[in-house]
Amino acid sequence: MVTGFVERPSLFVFIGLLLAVLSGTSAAEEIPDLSGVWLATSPRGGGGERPELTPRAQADLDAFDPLSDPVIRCVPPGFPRSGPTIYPFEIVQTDTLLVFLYETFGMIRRIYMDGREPPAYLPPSLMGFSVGHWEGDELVIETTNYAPAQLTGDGVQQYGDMAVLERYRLIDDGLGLEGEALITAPGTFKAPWLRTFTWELDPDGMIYESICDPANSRF
Amino acid sequence: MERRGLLVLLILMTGASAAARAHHSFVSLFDPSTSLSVTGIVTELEFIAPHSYIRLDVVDEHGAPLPWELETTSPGQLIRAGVTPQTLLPGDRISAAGNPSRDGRRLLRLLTITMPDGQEKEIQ
Repeated sequence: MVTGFVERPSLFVFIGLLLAVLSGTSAAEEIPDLSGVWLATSPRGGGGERPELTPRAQADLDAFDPLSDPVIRCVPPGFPRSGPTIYPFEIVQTDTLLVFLYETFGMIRRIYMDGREPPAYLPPSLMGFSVGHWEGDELVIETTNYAPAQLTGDGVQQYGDMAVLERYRLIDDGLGLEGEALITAPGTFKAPWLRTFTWELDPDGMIYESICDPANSRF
Repeated sequence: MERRGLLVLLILMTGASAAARAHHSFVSLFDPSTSLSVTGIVTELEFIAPHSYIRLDVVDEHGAPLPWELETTSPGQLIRAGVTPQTLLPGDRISAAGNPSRDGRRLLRLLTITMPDGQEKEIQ
């Protein structure tokens, strides 16, 4: 009996390996290729209804002065305030690292796919710290370590307690991409905010420089 | 009716300045619940990030040119829409529709532009 328990898993592993060899595929080959320039096709702001705000966030929104918006000083809006909608982005894909190059403000995100942990100390940032993995044909990204920032154009704030869980998958035979971002920010929202987006591949496209020059701020 | 609405708006806009820019979210400066159309002659195209500007003279009911400004998206998005310094030149006649500035300046957030060749382009 004891011997049988030991041998049976080994047999399953052997059969699995045999099937993988016979089918001529490997796990690495099945990873979708998301690389390319993606043009936003979602409605402005994407889909998904913004949840009810906490009293603190509502008070900050009520008192919001558009002239206090950091983007006026050309501070990048960060992710996920900006990036997923309107402006295109490019994905550069390797086995261990994905790089998202957003046209807006030239923002860059690095998504570590090598299983690493964040460093012992990492300053909170506008783009956060992102790690990703594949679940079947779906890319899953978890982002934490956000600095407090303005989260929407109309003045909703997040207070540095935000985490974002994204999922991306190819559609339309690889010519389209759909994604979602689940934003959890207990200081801001009474419930998580699920935003949804779509893109289409621009095979001949490119990302243009879009650097904001504070000299063009003329208020 | 549309022309009369524009006329009323123009009369209300006393002392409006054309220089009114900074980077900002569109929602803070423009009223998305209202739209307005203008037709005029392009005087300048400022092709800069993150927001570009098209300036034009709109002739009022007395035949006098009034300077208007169209605020729009980044150069990259304009290139994708086919609006570039090669396709839009000073002297060209265009029509534009968009959201007016909340503070009454002669400033529109550009949403649709009818190019000199008659092509209508939506701008994100």
